Amino acid sequence: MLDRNDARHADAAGWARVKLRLIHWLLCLYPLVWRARYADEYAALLEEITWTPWNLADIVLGALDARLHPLPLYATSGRVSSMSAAARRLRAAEIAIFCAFAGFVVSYISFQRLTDPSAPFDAVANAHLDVFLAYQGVQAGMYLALTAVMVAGFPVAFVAVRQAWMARQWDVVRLFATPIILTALFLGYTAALSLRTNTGSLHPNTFNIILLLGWILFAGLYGVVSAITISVGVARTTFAGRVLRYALIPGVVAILGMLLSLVSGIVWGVRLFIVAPQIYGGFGGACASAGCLGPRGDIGMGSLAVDLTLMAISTLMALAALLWGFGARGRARGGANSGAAAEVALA
Amino acid sequence: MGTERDTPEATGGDLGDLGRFSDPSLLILASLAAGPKHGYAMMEDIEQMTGVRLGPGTLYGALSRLEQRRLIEPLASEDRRRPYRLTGLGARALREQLTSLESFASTGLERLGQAGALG
Repeated sequence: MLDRNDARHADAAGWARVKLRLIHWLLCLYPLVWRARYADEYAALLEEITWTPWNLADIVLGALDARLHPLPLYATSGRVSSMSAAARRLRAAEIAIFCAFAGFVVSYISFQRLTDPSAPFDAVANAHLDVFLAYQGVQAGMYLALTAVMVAGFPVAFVAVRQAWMARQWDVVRLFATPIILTALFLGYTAALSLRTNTGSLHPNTFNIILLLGWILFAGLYGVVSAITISVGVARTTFAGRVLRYALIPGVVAILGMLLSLVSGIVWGVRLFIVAPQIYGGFGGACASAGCLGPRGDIGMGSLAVDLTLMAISTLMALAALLWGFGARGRARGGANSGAAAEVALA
Repeated sequence: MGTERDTPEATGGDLGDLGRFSDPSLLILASLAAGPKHGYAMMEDIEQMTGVRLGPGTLYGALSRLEQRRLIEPLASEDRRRPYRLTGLGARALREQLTSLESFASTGLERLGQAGALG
Protein backbone atom coordinates (compact mmCIF):
# COMPACT_ATOMS: atom_id res chain seq x y z
CA MET A 1 0.00 0.00 0.00
CA LEU A 2 2.82 2.34 1.01
CA ASP A 3 4.74 1.44 -2.12
CA ARG A 4 1.72 2.23 -4.26
CA ASN A 5 1.40 5.69 -2.58
CA ASP A 6 5.10 6.32 -3.08
CA ALA A 7 4.78 5.36 -6.73
CA ARG A 8 1.79 7.67 -7.09
CA HIS A 9 3.72 10.56 -5.51
CA ALA A 10 6.68 9.84 -7.75
CA ASP A 11 4.39 9.83 -10.78
CA ALA A 12 2.83 13.13 -9.71
CA ALA A 13 6.24 14.72 -9.16
CA GLY A 14 7.41 13.37 -12.50
CA TRP A 15 4.33 14.76 -14.27
CA ALA A 16 4.81 18.14 -12.54
CA ARG A 17 8.36 18.29 -13.90
CA VAL A 18 7.20 17.27 -17.38
CA LYS A 19 4.41 19.87 -17.21
CA LEU A 20 6.85 22.66 -16.27
CA ARG A 21 9.14 21.66 -19.11
CA LEU A 22 6.17 21.52 -21.49
CA ILE A 23 5.00 24.97 -20.35
CA HIS A 24 8.50 26.29 -20.95
CA TRP A 25 8.53 24.94 -24.51
CA LEU A 26 5.00 26.14 -25.23
CA LEU A 27 5.86 29.63 -23.99
CA CYS A 28 8.84 29.64 -26.33
CA LEU A 29 6.35 29.50 -29.21
CA TYR A 30 5.15 33.00 -28.26
CA PRO A 31 6.98 36.16 -29.40
CA LEU A 32 9.54 37.62 -27.04
CA VAL A 33 7.63 40.85 -26.48
CA TRP A 34 4.49 38.88 -25.64
CA ARG A 35 6.42 36.70 -23.19
CA ALA A 36 8.01 39.74 -21.55
CA ARG A 37 4.53 40.95 -20.73
CA TYR A 38 2.44 37.83 -20.15
CA ALA A 39 4.72 34.80 -19.64
CA ASP A 40 4.61 34.76 -15.87
CA GLU A 41 0.85 34.96 -15.41
CA TYR A 42 0.25 32.73 -18.43
CA ALA A 43 2.58 30.07 -17.00
CA ALA A 44 0.69 30.29 -13.69
CA LEU A 45 -2.57 29.69 -15.59
CA LEU A 46 -1.12 26.75 -17.56
CA GLU A 47 -0.02 25.15 -14.30
CA GLU A 48 -3.62 25.28 -13.05
CA ILE A 49 -5.60 24.06 -16.06
CA THR A 50 -6.44 20.48 -16.94
CA TRP A 51 -4.30 19.34 -19.82
CA THR A 52 -6.32 18.16 -22.80
CA PRO A 53 -5.42 17.93 -26.50
CA TRP A 54 -7.92 20.76 -27.13
CA ASN A 55 -6.14 23.03 -24.61
CA LEU A 56 -2.78 22.14 -26.13
CA ALA A 57 -4.04 23.02 -29.61
CA ASP A 58 -5.54 26.25 -28.26
CA ILE A 59 -2.18 27.27 -26.76
CA VAL A 60 -0.41 26.61 -30.07
CA LEU A 61 -3.06 28.58 -31.94
CA GLY A 62 -2.71 31.38 -29.40
CA ALA A 63 1.06 31.49 -30.09
CA LEU A 64 0.42 31.63 -33.82
CA ASP A 65 -2.05 34.46 -33.31
CA ALA A 66 0.42 36.37 -31.10
CA ARG A 67 3.04 36.06 -33.84
CA LEU A 68 0.65 37.14 -36.58
CA HIS A 69 -0.68 40.08 -34.56
CA PRO A 70 2.20 41.51 -32.52
CA LEU A 71 1.11 44.22 -30.14
CA PRO A 72 2.95 47.38 -29.07
CA LEU A 73 2.95 46.18 -25.52
CA TYR A 74 4.96 48.94 -23.90
CA ALA A 75 1.83 51.06 -24.14
CA THR A 76 -0.63 48.35 -23.21
CA SER A 77 -2.86 50.02 -20.68
CA GLY A 78 -1.47 53.52 -20.63
CA ARG A 79 -1.92 53.61 -16.88
CA VAL A 80 -0.44 50.41 -15.54
CA SER A 81 2.96 49.50 -16.95
CA SER A 82 3.60 45.85 -17.66
CA MET A 83 6.94 46.17 -15.87
CA SER A 84 7.06 46.04 -12.09
CA ALA A 85 8.00 49.22 -10.23
CA ALA A 86 11.30 47.62 -9.20
CA ALA A 87 12.17 46.69 -12.80
CA ARG A 88 11.31 50.21 -13.96
CA ARG A 89 13.57 51.63 -11.27
CA LEU A 90 16.38 49.31 -12.35
CA ARG A 91 15.92 50.41 -15.96
CA ALA A 92 15.96 54.10 -14.94
CA ALA A 93 19.12 53.53 -12.89
CA GLU A 94 20.87 51.91 -15.84
CA ILE A 95 19.87 54.75 -18.15
CA ALA A 96 21.25 57.22 -15.58
CA ILE A 97 24.54 55.29 -15.42
CA PHE A 98 24.75 55.36 -19.22
CA CYS A 99 24.11 59.13 -19.32
CA ALA A 100 26.68 59.71 -16.57
CA PHE A 101 29.18 57.68 -18.59
CA ALA A 102 28.42 59.80 -21.68
CA GLY A 103 29.22 62.90 -19.59
CA PHE A 104 32.41 61.22 -18.39
CA VAL A 105 33.49 60.57 -21.98
CA VAL A 106 33.11 64.28 -22.80
CA SER A 107 35.33 65.28 -19.86
CA TYR A 108 37.80 62.53 -20.77
CA ILE A 109 38.07 63.81 -24.34
CA SER A 110 38.66 67.30 -22.98
CA PHE A 111 41.31 65.87 -20.63
CA GLN A 112 43.01 64.21 -23.58
CA ARG A 113 43.21 67.54 -25.38
CA LEU A 114 45.22 68.95 -22.44
CA THR A 115 48.21 66.83 -23.36
CA ASP A 116 48.16 67.53 -27.08
CA PRO A 117 50.92 67.83 -28.31
CA SER A 118 52.28 65.16 -26.02
CA ALA A 119 56.06 65.61 -26.36
CA PRO A 120 56.58 67.73 -23.16
CA PHE A 121 54.35 65.39 -21.17
CA ASP A 122 56.11 62.32 -22.53
CA ALA A 123 59.41 63.78 -21.36
CA VAL A 124 58.05 64.19 -17.80
CA ALA A 125 56.46 60.72 -17.89
CA ASN A 126 59.76 59.16 -19.00
CA ALA A 127 61.55 60.79 -16.11
CA HIS A 128 58.90 59.97 -13.48
CA LEU A 129 57.39 56.51 -13.37
CA ASP A 130 54.50 57.57 -11.10
CA VAL A 131 53.43 60.27 -13.58
CA PHE A 132 53.60 57.71 -16.37
CA LEU A 133 51.57 55.17 -14.37
CA ALA A 134 48.99 57.77 -13.34
CA TYR A 135 48.46 58.78 -16.96
CA GLN A 136 48.17 55.13 -18.00
CA GLY A 137 45.64 54.71 -15.18
CA VAL A 138 43.46 57.44 -16.71
CA GLN A 139 43.52 55.59 -20.05
CA ALA A 140 43.07 52.12 -18.55
CA GLY A 141 40.11 53.25 -16.44
CA MET A 142 38.43 54.77 -19.46
CA TYR A 143 38.96 51.67 -21.62
CA LEU A 144 37.68 49.46 -18.80
CA ALA A 145 34.56 51.62 -18.41
CA LEU A 146 33.99 51.75 -22.16
CA THR A 147 34.29 47.96 -22.50
CA ALA A 148 31.91 47.41 -19.57
CA VAL A 149 29.34 49.83 -21.00
CA MET A 150 29.52 48.02 -24.34
CA VAL A 151 29.20 44.61 -22.67
CA ALA A 152 26.12 45.86 -20.80
CA GLY A 153 24.74 47.99 -23.60
CA PHE A 154 24.81 45.66 -26.59
CA PRO A 155 22.51 42.95 -25.14
CA VAL A 156 20.13 45.63 -23.82
CA ALA A 157 20.08 47.41 -27.19
CA PHE A 158 19.68 44.07 -28.99
CA VAL A 159 16.69 43.09 -26.85
CA ALA A 160 15.14 46.55 -27.26
CA VAL A 161 15.57 46.63 -31.06
CA ARG A 162 14.40 43.05 -31.47
CA GLN A 163 11.27 43.66 -29.40
CA ALA A 164 10.56 46.92 -31.18
CA TRP A 165 11.01 45.24 -34.56
CA MET A 166 8.74 42.33 -33.68
CA ALA A 167 6.08 44.60 -32.20
CA ARG A 168 6.43 47.02 -35.13
CA GLN A 169 7.28 49.90 -32.82
CA TRP A 170 8.92 51.89 -35.58
CA ASP A 171 9.43 54.94 -33.39
CA VAL A 172 11.67 52.86 -31.09
CA VAL A 173 13.47 51.30 -34.07
CA ARG A 174 14.12 54.82 -35.41
CA LEU A 175 15.53 55.88 -32.03
CA PHE A 176 18.13 53.10 -32.16
CA ALA A 177 18.83 53.64 -35.87
CA THR A 178 19.72 57.32 -35.24
CA PRO A 179 23.11 56.69 -33.51
CA ILE A 180 24.05 54.18 -36.24
CA ILE A 181 23.32 56.69 -39.00
CA LEU A 182 25.11 59.45 -37.06
CA THR A 183 28.14 57.17 -36.57
CA ALA A 184 28.34 56.56 -40.32
CA LEU A 185 28.07 60.31 -41.02
CA PHE A 186 30.62 61.16 -38.34
CA LEU A 187 33.10 58.59 -39.67
CA GLY A 188 32.59 59.96 -43.17
CA TYR A 189 33.19 63.55 -41.97
CA THR A 190 36.28 62.49 -40.00
CA ALA A 191 37.65 60.51 -42.95
CA ALA A 192 37.19 63.53 -45.25
CA LEU A 193 38.93 65.78 -42.73
CA SER A 194 41.79 63.28 -42.30
CA LEU A 195 42.19 63.11 -46.06
CA ARG A 196 42.54 66.88 -46.25
CA THR A 197 45.09 66.83 -43.41
CA ASN A 198 47.12 64.03 -45.00
CA THR A 199 47.17 65.68 -48.39
CA GLY A 200 48.36 68.90 -46.77
CA SER A 201 45.35 70.90 -47.89
CA LEU A 202 44.17 71.86 -44.39
CA HIS A 203 45.55 75.41 -44.52
CA PRO A 204 44.26 77.90 -41.93
CA ASN A 205 41.77 79.61 -44.25
CA THR A 206 38.11 80.40 -43.56
CA PHE A 207 36.77 77.30 -45.29
CA ASN A 208 39.02 74.95 -43.36
CA ILE A 209 38.28 76.68 -40.05
CA ILE A 210 34.54 76.29 -40.73
CA LEU A 211 35.18 72.67 -41.69
CA LEU A 212 37.03 72.04 -38.42
CA LEU A 213 34.50 73.89 -36.28
CA GLY A 214 31.73 72.00 -38.07
CA TRP A 215 33.44 68.75 -37.17
CA ILE A 216 33.69 69.75 -33.50
CA LEU A 217 30.03 70.82 -33.49
CA PHE A 218 29.00 67.63 -35.26
CA ALA A 219 31.02 65.53 -32.78
CA GLY A 220 29.23 67.21 -29.89
CA LEU A 221 25.79 66.80 -31.45
CA TYR A 222 26.60 63.20 -32.37
CA GLY A 223 27.40 62.39 -28.74
CA VAL A 224 24.44 64.22 -27.23
CA VAL A 225 21.83 63.01 -29.75
CA SER A 226 23.11 59.41 -29.58
CA ALA A 227 23.00 59.37 -25.78
CA ILE A 228 19.47 60.85 -25.77
CA THR A 229 18.02 58.56 -28.46
CA ILE A 230 19.49 55.41 -26.90
CA SER A 231 18.21 56.44 -23.46
CA VAL A 232 14.69 57.18 -24.75
CA GLY A 233 14.67 53.91 -26.74
CA VAL A 234 15.63 51.91 -23.66
CA ALA A 235 13.08 53.81 -21.54
CA ARG A 236 10.34 52.80 -24.00
CA THR A 237 11.21 49.11 -23.92
CA THR A 238 9.72 46.46 -21.67
CA PHE A 239 12.58 44.33 -20.35
CA ALA A 240 12.69 41.05 -18.51
CA GLY A 241 14.32 41.39 -15.10
CA ARG A 242 17.08 39.00 -16.17
CA VAL A 243 18.35 41.44 -18.81
CA LEU A 244 18.29 44.39 -16.42
CA ARG A 245 20.00 42.49 -13.62
CA TYR A 246 22.66 41.30 -16.05
CA ALA A 247 23.38 44.86 -17.21
CA LEU A 248 23.95 46.06 -13.65
CA ILE A 249 27.10 43.93 -13.20
CA PRO A 250 29.03 45.54 -16.10
CA GLY A 251 27.61 48.81 -14.73
CA VAL A 252 29.59 48.22 -11.52
CA VAL A 253 32.75 47.53 -13.59
CA ALA A 254 32.13 50.71 -15.63
CA ILE A 255 31.95 52.81 -12.46
CA LEU A 256 35.13 51.18 -11.13
CA GLY A 257 36.80 52.13 -14.43
CA MET A 258 35.54 55.70 -14.10
CA LEU A 259 36.82 55.86 -10.52
CA LEU A 260 40.22 54.53 -11.59
CA SER A 261 40.37 57.11 -14.36
CA LEU A 262 39.33 59.94 -12.03
CA VAL A 263 41.74 59.06 -9.20
CA SER A 264 44.57 58.55 -11.69
CA GLY A 265 43.76 61.92 -13.26
CA ILE A 266 43.95 63.66 -9.87
CA VAL A 267 47.22 61.90 -9.00
CA TRP A 268 48.61 62.78 -12.43
CA GLY A 269 47.69 66.45 -12.04
CA VAL A 270 49.13 66.72 -8.54
CA ARG A 271 52.36 64.85 -9.34
CA LEU A 272 52.84 66.88 -12.52
CA PHE A 273 52.49 70.08 -10.47
CA ILE A 274 55.13 68.84 -8.02
CA VAL A 275 57.71 67.41 -10.42
CA ALA A 276 57.21 69.72 -13.42
CA PRO A 277 55.48 72.95 -12.34
CA GLN A 278 56.80 74.68 -15.46
CA ILE A 279 54.42 72.59 -17.56
CA TYR A 280 51.42 74.48 -16.19
CA GLY A 281 50.75 77.53 -18.26
CA GLY A 282 48.92 79.41 -15.52
CA PHE A 283 45.41 79.39 -14.16
CA GLY A 284 43.56 79.86 -17.45
CA GLY A 285 39.96 78.87 -18.04
CA ALA A 286 38.51 75.76 -19.62
CA CYS A 287 39.90 76.62 -23.05
CA ALA A 288 43.32 77.68 -21.92
CA SER A 289 44.85 74.36 -22.79
CA ALA A 290 47.67 73.66 -25.15
CA GLY A 291 45.37 71.72 -27.44
CA CYS A 292 42.90 74.54 -27.80
CA LEU A 293 45.17 77.46 -28.29
CA GLY A 294 48.05 75.90 -30.13
CA PRO A 295 51.18 73.84 -29.58
CA ARG A 296 52.43 75.59 -26.47
CA GLY A 297 53.30 72.42 -24.58
CA ASP A 298 51.70 73.51 -21.31
CA ILE A 299 48.29 73.21 -19.69
CA GLY A 300 45.91 75.56 -17.97
CA MET A 301 45.30 74.80 -14.32
CA GLY A 302 41.66 75.82 -14.84
CA SER A 303 41.24 73.37 -17.73
CA LEU A 304 42.52 70.47 -15.67
CA ALA A 305 40.32 71.45 -12.72
CA VAL A 306 37.22 71.71 -14.93
CA ASP A 307 37.90 68.35 -16.59
CA LEU A 308 38.54 66.56 -13.31
CA THR A 309 35.47 68.16 -11.73
CA LEU A 310 33.29 67.02 -14.64
CA MET A 311 34.76 63.52 -14.37
CA ALA A 312 34.05 63.51 -10.63
CA ILE A 313 30.45 64.71 -11.10
CA SER A 314 29.81 62.04 -13.77
CA THR A 315 31.32 59.33 -11.58
CA LEU A 316 29.30 60.39 -8.54
CA MET A 317 26.10 60.49 -10.61
CA ALA A 318 26.78 56.99 -11.91
CA LEU A 319 27.57 55.75 -8.40
CA ALA A 320 24.37 57.27 -6.98
CA ALA A 321 22.33 55.68 -9.81
CA LEU A 322 24.01 52.33 -9.19
CA LEU A 323 23.20 52.37 -5.47
CA TRP A 324 19.63 53.41 -6.25
CA GLY A 325 19.35 50.61 -8.82
CA PHE A 326 20.82 48.00 -6.48
CA GLY A 327 17.97 48.67 -4.07
CA ALA A 328 15.56 47.43 -6.74
CA ARG A 329 17.74 44.59 -8.06
CA GLY A 330 16.42 41.88 -5.75
CA ARG A 331 12.81 42.97 -6.21
CA ALA A 332 13.12 43.13 -10.01
CA ARG A 333 13.38 39.35 -10.32
CA GLY A 334 11.09 38.55 -13.19
CA GLY A 335 11.16 42.16 -14.41
CA ALA A 336 8.26 42.33 -16.80
CA ASN A 337 6.32 40.30 -14.30
CA SER A 338 7.27 39.16 -10.86
CA GLY A 339 8.11 35.47 -10.94
CA ALA A 340 10.50 32.90 -12.22
CA ALA A 341 8.45 31.64 -15.16
CA ALA A 342 9.16 34.68 -17.29
CA GLU A 343 12.82 34.11 -16.57
CA VAL A 344 12.51 30.51 -17.73
CA ALA A 345 10.50 31.53 -20.75
CA LEU A 346 12.98 34.18 -21.80
CA ALA A 347 16.01 31.97 -21.20
CA MET B 1 -11.09 55.32 -15.95
CA GLY B 2 -12.10 56.59 -19.32
CA THR B 3 -12.12 60.26 -20.11
CA GLU B 4 -14.74 61.98 -22.21
CA ARG B 5 -12.59 61.52 -25.28
CA ASP B 6 -12.21 57.82 -24.53
CA THR B 7 -15.51 56.75 -25.99
CA PRO B 8 -15.82 53.04 -26.80
CA GLU B 9 -15.96 53.91 -30.49
CA ALA B 10 -12.91 56.18 -30.33
CA THR B 11 -10.68 53.58 -28.70
CA GLY B 12 -12.06 50.47 -30.30
CA GLY B 13 -14.78 49.56 -27.79
CA ASP B 14 -16.73 47.87 -30.57
CA LEU B 15 -15.93 44.19 -30.09
CA GLY B 16 -17.20 43.20 -33.52
CA ASP B 17 -13.85 43.83 -35.22
CA LEU B 18 -11.99 41.47 -32.90
CA GLY B 19 -12.73 38.58 -35.23
CA ARG B 20 -12.68 35.21 -33.52
CA PHE B 21 -11.91 36.98 -30.24
CA SER B 22 -15.11 39.05 -30.16
CA ASP B 23 -17.20 36.44 -28.35
CA PRO B 24 -14.50 35.51 -25.81
CA SER B 25 -13.92 39.25 -25.23
CA LEU B 26 -17.59 39.79 -24.43
CA LEU B 27 -17.52 36.83 -22.04
CA ILE B 28 -14.43 38.21 -20.31
CA LEU B 29 -15.97 41.66 -19.93
CA ALA B 30 -19.13 40.11 -18.50
CA SER B 31 -17.07 38.06 -16.08
CA LEU B 32 -15.07 41.08 -14.92
CA ALA B 33 -18.29 43.06 -14.43
CA ALA B 34 -18.65 41.09 -11.18
CA GLY B 35 -15.19 42.22 -9.98
CA PRO B 36 -11.47 41.76 -10.70
CA LYS B 37 -10.34 38.23 -11.57
CA HIS B 38 -7.20 36.48 -12.74
CA GLY B 39 -7.13 34.19 -15.78
CA TYR B 40 -8.10 30.90 -14.17
CA ALA B 41 -10.93 32.50 -12.15
CA MET B 42 -12.26 34.04 -15.37
CA MET B 43 -12.24 30.64 -17.10
CA GLU B 44 -14.12 29.09 -14.21
CA ASP B 45 -16.60 31.96 -13.93
CA ILE B 46 -17.32 32.00 -17.69
CA GLU B 47 -17.88 28.25 -17.70
CA GLN B 48 -20.25 28.55 -14.76
CA MET B 49 -22.07 31.49 -16.37
CA THR B 50 -22.40 30.19 -19.93
CA GLY B 51 -21.19 26.61 -20.09
CA VAL B 52 -18.39 27.72 -22.43
CA ARG B 53 -14.85 26.74 -21.41
CA LEU B 54 -12.35 29.15 -22.93
CA GLY B 55 -8.98 27.71 -23.88
CA PRO B 56 -5.89 29.42 -22.37
CA GLY B 57 -4.67 30.65 -25.77
CA THR B 58 -8.06 32.13 -26.60
CA LEU B 59 -8.36 33.70 -23.14
CA TYR B 60 -5.00 35.49 -23.37
CA GLY B 61 -5.51 36.42 -27.02
CA ALA B 62 -8.69 38.21 -25.98
CA LEU B 63 -7.18 39.63 -22.77
CA SER B 64 -4.27 41.23 -24.63
CA ARG B 65 -6.65 42.81 -27.14
CA LEU B 66 -8.96 44.12 -24.43
CA GLU B 67 -6.01 45.55 -22.52
CA GLN B 68 -4.71 47.13 -25.70
CA ARG B 69 -8.07 48.84 -26.19
CA ARG B 70 -8.14 49.94 -22.55
CA LEU B 71 -11.35 48.05 -21.89
CA ILE B 72 -9.66 46.19 -19.03
CA GLU B 73 -6.56 46.93 -16.97
CA PRO B 74 -4.13 44.77 -15.03
CA LEU B 75 -3.78 45.07 -11.28
CA ALA B 76 -0.75 44.26 -9.15
CA SER B 77 -0.04 40.55 -9.42
CA GLU B 78 -0.95 38.24 -6.58
CA ASP B 79 1.85 35.75 -6.42
CA ARG B 80 2.29 35.14 -10.16
CA ARG B 81 -1.40 35.40 -11.07
CA ARG B 82 -2.34 38.85 -12.31
CA PRO B 83 -5.92 39.99 -11.81
CA TYR B 84 -7.65 42.27 -14.30
CA ARG B 85 -10.50 44.67 -13.84
CA LEU B 86 -12.99 46.40 -16.07
CA THR B 87 -12.25 50.04 -16.92
CA GLY B 88 -14.98 52.67 -17.24
CA LEU B 89 -14.58 52.38 -20.97
CA GLY B 90 -14.92 48.59 -20.76
CA ALA B 91 -18.07 48.90 -18.67
CA ARG B 92 -19.60 51.20 -21.27
CA ALA B 93 -18.58 48.90 -24.13
CA LEU B 94 -20.08 45.93 -22.28
CA ARG B 95 -23.30 47.83 -21.60
CA GLU B 96 -23.60 48.76 -25.28
CA GLN B 97 -22.98 45.19 -26.40
CA LEU B 98 -25.47 43.73 -23.92
CA THR B 99 -28.09 46.35 -24.78
CA SER B 100 -27.64 45.54 -28.45
CA LEU B 101 -27.93 41.81 -27.71
CA GLU B 102 -30.98 42.41 -25.53
CA SER B 103 -32.66 44.36 -28.33
CA PHE B 104 -31.71 41.61 -30.79
CA ALA B 105 -33.02 38.89 -28.46
CA SER B 106 -36.32 40.66 -27.78
CA THR B 107 -36.85 41.29 -31.50
CA GLY B 108 -36.09 37.66 -32.26
CA LEU B 109 -38.38 36.43 -29.52
CA GLU B 110 -41.09 38.80 -30.66
CA ARG B 111 -40.81 37.45 -34.22
CA LEU B 112 -40.84 33.92 -32.94
CA GLY B 113 -44.01 34.75 -31.02
CA GLN B 114 -45.61 36.16 -34.15
CA ALA B 115 -44.51 33.12 -36.15
CA GLY B 116 -45.99 30.92 -33.43
CA ALA B 117 -49.27 32.85 -33.60
CA LEU B 118 -49.29 32.47 -37.37
CA GLY B 119 -48.44 28.78 -37.14
